[in-house]
Amino acid sequence: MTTKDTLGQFEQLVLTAIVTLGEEAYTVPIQHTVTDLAGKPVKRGPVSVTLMRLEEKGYVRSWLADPTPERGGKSKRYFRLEPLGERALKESAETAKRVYDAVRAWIPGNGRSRKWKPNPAR
Amino acid sequence: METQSGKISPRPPRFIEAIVRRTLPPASREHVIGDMREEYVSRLGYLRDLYQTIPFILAERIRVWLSTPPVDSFQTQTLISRRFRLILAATLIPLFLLPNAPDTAPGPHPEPVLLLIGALVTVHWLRQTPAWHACARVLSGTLLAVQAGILFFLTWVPGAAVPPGLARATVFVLLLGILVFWIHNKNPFSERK
Repeated sequence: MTTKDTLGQFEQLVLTAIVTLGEEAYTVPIQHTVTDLAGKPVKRGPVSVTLMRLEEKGYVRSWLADPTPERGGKSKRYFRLEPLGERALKESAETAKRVYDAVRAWIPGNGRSRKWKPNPAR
Repeated sequence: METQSGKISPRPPRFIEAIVRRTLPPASREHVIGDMREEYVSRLGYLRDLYQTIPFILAERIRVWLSTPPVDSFQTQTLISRRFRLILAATLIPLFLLPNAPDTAPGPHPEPVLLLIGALVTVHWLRQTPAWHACARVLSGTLLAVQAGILFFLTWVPGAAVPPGLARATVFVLLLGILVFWIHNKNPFSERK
C-alpha cells in the first residue's frame, strides 16, 4: 500500500530527525538535527510549521510533557511518527535511493559508469 | 529561575515575552515560548529567534484560517514571503477600506485613498527593483520615518482634527512599509546563506 501524498524534501528531513531522536524528539533538537542533515542553518519557524502540517496530515502525533525548570516552567511538545508517516518516509527513502543509484551510475569516472535501467520487477 | 548549581540563569525580558504570549495562538503558545526560553542566550539573540519563528507560525495560522493549500518547498522564501504578502494584503485592504466602518466620519475624505494609492505605487516600484541598493534603502527608511511621524501626530497630538479614516489608512501604510522593508531589505524569510 502506498501513501497518497509524497513528502517534500523538508518534510523528509523533519521526519528523519524525529526517527533519529526517538524519545527525545521535540522542536529544539529536531531543529538541530535538521540543520545537521541539511548541511545549512535552518530556522525554527519552518520546522515548527512543518511539524504542524505533518500532524495535520496524520504523519506524526504530538503531546505536551510536564513543565521543566530550564524552560521557565514551560512544557515541551514531543513528536512521534505514526504508521502513515513511517510508510511515507520509507517510500520517500526508497525513491531517494533509486535516484541516488541512477545518479551514481551516470557519473562518469567512478569505475561503475553504466546506463541506468529501470527495475523490470516494477 | 534557578539551576541545579544554584546560579540564576538568564531569562528573556518579561515585556517581550508578554508580547510574544499575546501574539501566539493558544495551541502553540506553551511549547514555542518554552523552546525560545531554552535557547535563550542574550536579548539580541532572543529578538532574532523571535524574528525567525513568530512570522512563520502566524503565516501558517492565516493559511489554515483561509484554507489555502501549503506550498511544499524547502525554500522558505517561496514558502512564506509570496503567500504572506498576498494574504496580508488581502486581509488588510478590505479591513481599512470598509465604507461603513463605525468610526468613519461622515463626508468624503480623499486623503486615505491618496495615501493608499501612493503606498501601492511605492510597493509596486520596490517590488520591481531588481536589487536592493543604497538609494532604495534610504528611500524606504525615509518613507517609514515619515509614516511613523504622521502616526505619532495623529495619535498623540491633542486636537489634531484628522478624520479616523486617514488615521487608519496611515496605520495601513506604516504596516505596508514595514512589510516591504522587511521583505526586500532584511528579507527575514529567506534561508541564511
